[in-house]
Amino acid sequence: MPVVNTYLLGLSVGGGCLAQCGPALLPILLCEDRRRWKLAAAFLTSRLFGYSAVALLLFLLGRATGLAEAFGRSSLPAGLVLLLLGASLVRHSLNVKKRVCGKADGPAPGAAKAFGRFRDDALLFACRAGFLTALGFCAPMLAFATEALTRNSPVQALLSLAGFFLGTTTVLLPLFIGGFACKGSAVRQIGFLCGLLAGALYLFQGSFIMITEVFHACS
Amino acid sequence: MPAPDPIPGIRTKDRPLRSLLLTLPLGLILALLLSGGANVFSDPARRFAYASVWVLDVSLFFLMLYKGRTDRYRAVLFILFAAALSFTFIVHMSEMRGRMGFTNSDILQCKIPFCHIVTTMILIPMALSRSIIFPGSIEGGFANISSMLVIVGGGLLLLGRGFCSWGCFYGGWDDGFSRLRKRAVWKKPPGYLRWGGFAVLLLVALSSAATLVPTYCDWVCPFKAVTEYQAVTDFGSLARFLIFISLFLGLVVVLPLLTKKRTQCAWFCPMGALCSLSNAVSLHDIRIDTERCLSCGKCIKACPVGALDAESLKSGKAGINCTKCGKCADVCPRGAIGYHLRFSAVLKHPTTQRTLFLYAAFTFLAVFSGGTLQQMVLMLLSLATGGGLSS
Repeated sequence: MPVVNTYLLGLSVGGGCLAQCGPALLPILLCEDRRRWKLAAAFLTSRLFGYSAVALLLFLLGRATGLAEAFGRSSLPAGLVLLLLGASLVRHSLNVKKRVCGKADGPAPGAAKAFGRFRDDALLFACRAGFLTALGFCAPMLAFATEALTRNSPVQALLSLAGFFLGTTTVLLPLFIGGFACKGSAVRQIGFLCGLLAGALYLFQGSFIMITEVFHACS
Repeated sequence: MPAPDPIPGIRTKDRPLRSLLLTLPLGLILALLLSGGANVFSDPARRFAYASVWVLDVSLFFLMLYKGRTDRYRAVLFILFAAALSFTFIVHMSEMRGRMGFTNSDILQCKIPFCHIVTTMILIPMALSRSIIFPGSIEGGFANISSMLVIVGGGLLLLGRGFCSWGCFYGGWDDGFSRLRKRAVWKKPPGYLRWGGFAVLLLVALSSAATLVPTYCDWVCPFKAVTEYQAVTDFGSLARFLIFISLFLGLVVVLPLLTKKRTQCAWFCPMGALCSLSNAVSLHDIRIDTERCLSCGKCIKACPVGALDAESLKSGKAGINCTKCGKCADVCPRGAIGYHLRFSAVLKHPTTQRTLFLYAAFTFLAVFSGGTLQQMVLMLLSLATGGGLSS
């Protein structure tokens, strides 16, 4: 049963999802007092969509080139995804700053203006964050990819994806419950700071991977 | 505008005899506890170290009671503690390993000293897997995990977030730098930054629970710059080293100088955030008598961690992140702020309530810092007498 296998796989490697996707999920849950369910649903749906895209891509790549080549030897795509996710989080945080932190702390400074030139909607951000976390090429994703690549048909690959998605979402449940339980201006401000810090963290991770790759390529 | 007259009955300065009598029991307690169970009279150097630390502690406590000022005298011991800890730690590590940096072999042999900030990262994995994700010694050895957890647990129960001003051996660094300038350059830092520690706590607790690695210590602890860090052997360790140095310079040196706030403790420390949660059950807190308060805002300006704002003055309570340093009470011209013992009337017997808090907090600080300060005196004596630096 691919669904059960990958559900258990998702549960067992879900700790990695907490570390990798949790920081992106926190600002979505904490920055808003209303429409949290909607935002969480958008995050999960786009994450599922991202997983499906990866599952299909890996299945096709695996058929065409074999396991090792499908993974490739370069971490550049992972670095790029992390950079995109980091920039997205920072931009979103700076966009919500004024709303979350109030007028007392003044208007958004230059950085906020530069990032927030195009007004960002929370729903759109939740979709983008969900999709990008699915493309993270993190350890759990690689474990799932190994499983998906060994399947004989795209349907089986998608079924194993559904199990994996359910497994990792189960691990994220405490975050959802905690996020829905906390409200108030202090919580929103913590969410805003979480977004900024997590964005910086992803940007650092992404840059670190890119620089290391370049060093490896040069040497 | 001239300062308003103090309200009758609010005494800022105590009677000398009363202060002396109140200091005596503490002197006796410290005389017993500072020895740490060892024979301190075995040689003149140890005798001198013991006596000098005892005299310093007792004098500071007496001055606190007599002058009616808390923060000024607390800061002396607190800052000395931080400087002494880094000094003795570096000497000790250099003796043990021959360098400040630790290697992978030290990690594998669980030889990394444990500090209280790691508590924020080990609690969830400890609850889930009954294992400690830190490469330190459970008992025995230098700065072992069990003794540190007992000290931190005791400190939190006794003082709540007061631990950050009366127990933390790092806090003295940014506290010290925040006092160097007379006026702040950056006068109004954004209020939301006071929640920074909570955001860091969430992120590091999450990542440590998931990766089973103490991520804060590995990547972003500013105090690695003045204690120990992973020896620079590759690009990764170089990046970490640069992060430690930058964060130390930024959060512990430059920002406290600019803002006159304890920026590392207030904006970044995850342990501070964890301690804030314990404020909810702590016996002592800071209260404001709303009838006496003039809303002059001096306390808001003075608070080093941003625990007071206009809302606090209205509600009569300091924020959850209050570290009970006593600076607000020291600057209040009307004596409207003071220590408060839970379940008692607000500021009804302010001197008694303050003395009760000071007994608990100062004893904790004096005993916790005592060993380190004595060790530093011994090292300096050894250096002065040509014996070199050794622990």
